[in-house]
Amino acid sequence: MDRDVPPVKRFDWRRAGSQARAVPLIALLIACLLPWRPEILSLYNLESLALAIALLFVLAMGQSFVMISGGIDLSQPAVISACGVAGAFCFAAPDPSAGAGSSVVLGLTVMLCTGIVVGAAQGLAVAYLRLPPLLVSLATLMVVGGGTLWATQSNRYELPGEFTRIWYARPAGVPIPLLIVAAVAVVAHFALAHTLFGRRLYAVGQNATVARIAGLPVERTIASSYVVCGFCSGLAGVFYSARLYTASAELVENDVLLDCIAAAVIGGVSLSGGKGKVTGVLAGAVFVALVGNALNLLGLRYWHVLIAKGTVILLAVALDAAGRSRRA
Amino acid sequence: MGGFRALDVVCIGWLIAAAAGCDAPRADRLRLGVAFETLQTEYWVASYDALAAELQRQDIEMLEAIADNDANRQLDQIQAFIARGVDGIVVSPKDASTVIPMIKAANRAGVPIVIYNRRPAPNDGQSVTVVADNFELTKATVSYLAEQARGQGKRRKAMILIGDLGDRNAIDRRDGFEAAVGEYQDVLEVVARVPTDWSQDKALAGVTNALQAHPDIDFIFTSSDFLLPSLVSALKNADKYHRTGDPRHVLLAGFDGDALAYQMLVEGYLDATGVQDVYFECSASVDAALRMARGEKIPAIVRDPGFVIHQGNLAERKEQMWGAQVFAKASRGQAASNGP
Amino acid sequence: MSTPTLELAGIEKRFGEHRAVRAVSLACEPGEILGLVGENGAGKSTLLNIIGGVLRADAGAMRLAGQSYAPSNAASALAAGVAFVHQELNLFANLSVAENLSLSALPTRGGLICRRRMRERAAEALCAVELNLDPTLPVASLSPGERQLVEIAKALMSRPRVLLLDEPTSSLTERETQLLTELMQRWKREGIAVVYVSHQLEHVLRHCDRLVVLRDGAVQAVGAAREFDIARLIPLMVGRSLDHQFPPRTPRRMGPPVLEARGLSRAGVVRNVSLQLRQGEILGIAGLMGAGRSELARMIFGLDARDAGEVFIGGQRLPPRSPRASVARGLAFASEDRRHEGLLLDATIADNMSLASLERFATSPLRRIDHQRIAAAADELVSRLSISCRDVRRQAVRTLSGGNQQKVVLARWLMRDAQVLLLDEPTRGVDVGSRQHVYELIRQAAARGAGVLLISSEIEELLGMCDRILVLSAGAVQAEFEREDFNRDTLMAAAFAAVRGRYS
Repeated sequence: MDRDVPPVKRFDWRRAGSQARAVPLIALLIACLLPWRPEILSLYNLESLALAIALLFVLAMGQSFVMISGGIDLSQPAVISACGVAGAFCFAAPDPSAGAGSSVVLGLTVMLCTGIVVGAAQGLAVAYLRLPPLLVSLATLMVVGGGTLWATQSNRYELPGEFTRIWYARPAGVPIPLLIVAAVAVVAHFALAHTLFGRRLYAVGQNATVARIAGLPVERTIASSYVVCGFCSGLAGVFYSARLYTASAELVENDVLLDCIAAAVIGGVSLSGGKGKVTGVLAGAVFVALVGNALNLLGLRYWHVLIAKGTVILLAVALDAAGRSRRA
Repeated sequence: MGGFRALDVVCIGWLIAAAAGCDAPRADRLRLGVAFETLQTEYWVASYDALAAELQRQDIEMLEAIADNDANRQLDQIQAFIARGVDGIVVSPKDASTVIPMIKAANRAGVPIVIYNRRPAPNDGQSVTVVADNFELTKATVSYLAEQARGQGKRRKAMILIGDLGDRNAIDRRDGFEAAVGEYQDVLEVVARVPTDWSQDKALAGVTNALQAHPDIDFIFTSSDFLLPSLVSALKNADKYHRTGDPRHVLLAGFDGDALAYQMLVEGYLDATGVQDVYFECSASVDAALRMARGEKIPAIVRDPGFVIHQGNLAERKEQMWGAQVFAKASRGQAASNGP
Repeated sequence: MSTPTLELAGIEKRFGEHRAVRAVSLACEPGEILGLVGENGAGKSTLLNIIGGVLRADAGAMRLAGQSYAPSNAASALAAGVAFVHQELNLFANLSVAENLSLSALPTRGGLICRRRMRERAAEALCAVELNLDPTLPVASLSPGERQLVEIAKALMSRPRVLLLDEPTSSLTERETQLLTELMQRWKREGIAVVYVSHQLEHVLRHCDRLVVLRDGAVQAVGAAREFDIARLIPLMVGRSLDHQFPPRTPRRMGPPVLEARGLSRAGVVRNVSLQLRQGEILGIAGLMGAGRSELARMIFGLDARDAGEVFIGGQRLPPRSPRASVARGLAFASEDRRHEGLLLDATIADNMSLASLERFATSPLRRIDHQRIAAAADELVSRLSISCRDVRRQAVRTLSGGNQQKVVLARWLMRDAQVLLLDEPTRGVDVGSRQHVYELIRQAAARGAGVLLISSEIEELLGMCDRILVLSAGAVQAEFEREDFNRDTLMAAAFAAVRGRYS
């Protein structure tokens, strides 16, 4: 059936707006908070904030890859803890013949690989067995979480000082995590915007049937997005455990998921797939981390924070849905 | 985009409202940041209230933060305190290891930090820990009870409820128990060691099983009074819950000194409990923070000797027992609500 | 002369640029059975939907027993006395027969559903269609024929003055069809006006009083049923339409077979279909809706599963369920559902066009996409196909007209230089101007040596474009026509053939 052809706007505000709606919000937030909490702009706080943004961005970026493919990954908190614990097991039984440096590398590799393996398992289940991503990732959350608890027997493992340098070292005054995450951002942006994989991911997320008819490897693309997310969870596991000097089954609470999905959605990644950019996710991460930082500085109780964050996410998601239905 | 604007307005409006609700800092007052892991048990609530009272007494501004069992959040809160320029921090940490980065963060910023009621794992940071001497106090409590047993001439079968072994305090208390038992081998034989992980459910299950396996247990020590409800429930089921004076009375001792312990002491079900002197610990913490802020050197660990309270010294020492105070406040409130 | 129960005057309905119903006027007397016939897309369903209140006419007027009749929705049509029995059954499978029958007006007693009355009502209604079954049975357990009768019973419950039946016999057994015939006679006696749409021409001719023949949305002929026969009907239904013109045929050399399908089957859909497609050949697939044409193409391409059969490209076996392999071997598939299976509506024109050729634009080692080259290739196709758009890089495909959208789909496969094109209704919803372009493209592709499988519901299109036509009926190949044997009537007859033989 034909439709009347609407005129093409020169610059599609709705599209651009949805992916950059965080930016003016961030400016407004800071401006409003300054009179009460001038320390929000202190160097100390800015550094804490930057690190919080970096950590959230890594997670949100991984989640975004999965969301662009049309799925979702609810297992991130459990995977983060599991990766931290997996690395800690390596440090607990260090190789006596090698120096301290090599065991750090080993631990790091193990942490990242754990994330990749869990991601791959989920990817296979979603793409090839065609199981719903929500259920697969929820099940993974529970299985991996329970498995980590069982493996650690609720113990905590201390991590060696050399390892914690990954979070605390400051070469030339710049915290290492910022450098690492900046690199991740560049690679992610390149992958999404300029590679074959990125094109395929967007196509599969927008309409898997159309992509399939065009001959794209739909299953492989979807599975790969979960592997990327698993890697990001592993990297987050490295950061969280280095920051806290410990690895345990309770390394992170489940509400990092809240922050991470909020950052993605506010940054313009669509819950129904096929849309999202790295710049948007970064803006979303900045916004969510800033809200968290502000609420900490205001000294408000946890439930207050939850209500605020929940409301923001609800609004962001509602806007996303409204934008979609207007187009449909 | 109307929807976009609405999101702006709501977020910002809310944050302004929240910010406006907070106090503006006064330049002349000292500020102390108090970060608690949780307010889940009576002990923490009493500690928190005691700290608040102490700070108010000294006219020091208190910034508060409750982490609700998340170590990450607690670290964020410590960093927020530092950003807000507090003069000192008192933290009751989630566990002994995760507090280390918090100590280091405070050290780096030059803010004195006091750890409340939990010994941090060995580290190269600078901090002062105020903690009860769990080992000695437990040993004293159990020894007192063992003396009673010796006086009665009967040989007794003993059971201990052990706390979460990830908690240093639990380990120290267990060691104190074993040390005391070691000196009273003629009177005591330990037949059950129940791990509870500080969980009521585990305590109930564990004690029930132990009582079934050893129905003649008649000497029990619990590593924390907060497990008393489960213990009492299991004892009632086994018909072993009787007052002092009753020939079936089981010698019972606890640790902490909460309101239930006080009540059971008064009614004669509990023989003794090792009381953590919350008032001492709180004032010592504040004191240590202030002294560090002034640049004084103080020992890394300040021990609260606590005291053993039992049916003999109940009347004279109940003022110092935090549980007794909580109990008194509750019954005053009860009386008020019941009406004349 | 009594007032006609139902009168239509000058009814018009457009969907975008497509005129589905053109100035249709007809009248139906009380107790008259009016047959409505026409091929796919002639406008029968649309017309019924208008009468039944599901759609609103753009122009024209309707009268019901002399009063003005303009239902705003199906419920008000029902209230006015027009009951519509749809082709796709609208029963709730998980509910019982009685519940389905009473659904719009559940009998209540004090706020609770009174089941006894519901059963009584149901028994009454079923009696009216002589259906003897327990009203508490769940609908899911009924056969399609029984469900159809329940639908009819439901329609009768509202005591309509006009009954609209859309393909009622498509799921009925012989005996049930017989039953329906008797019921129709009964309704006649009761004075209900019946509008009866069906593909089963013999049934229509035998049991209707009058006939209306629709073609391209307009009334082609009206008259008493006894004045018609199949031979007269078919040409009226498919007649020559002056709108369509086809590119002149140039003699082409056709090469060896490029696609071969052997024994393709899937239960209930396609029965043992084999075909051969040569290089440079345009093979048409004709048949009624539901004959299995689209399903066949999807099975060949590998999108849907098959129970049996093999497909060979250039002599090599094609894996049965891998569109990726099919595309790699040079196959192309354009679905009849362009919006949901053909295009990424929110993606740009360039993205849509390049979708099947992405590897070509990705340079190693990082597989970097060369956006410039894609845009250049897209621009080239835009001019070659005369696609009217503004900016290939930024314009979303959703904003294009149906014709241009279809060209984008074709452009995708042209960019890939596909060797076998499976096109399912490529000109559906496409305006006349763009159609010409599409026909040109198909011709050119064939001239360059591609094999084209053209599925279409428009006989004219097939006759004008194809070198050979296969007619499918009820999932099996009914007939094959070489160009020299092309004949509208025999073609249509073949399409109706399997449907015809079910009763006499």
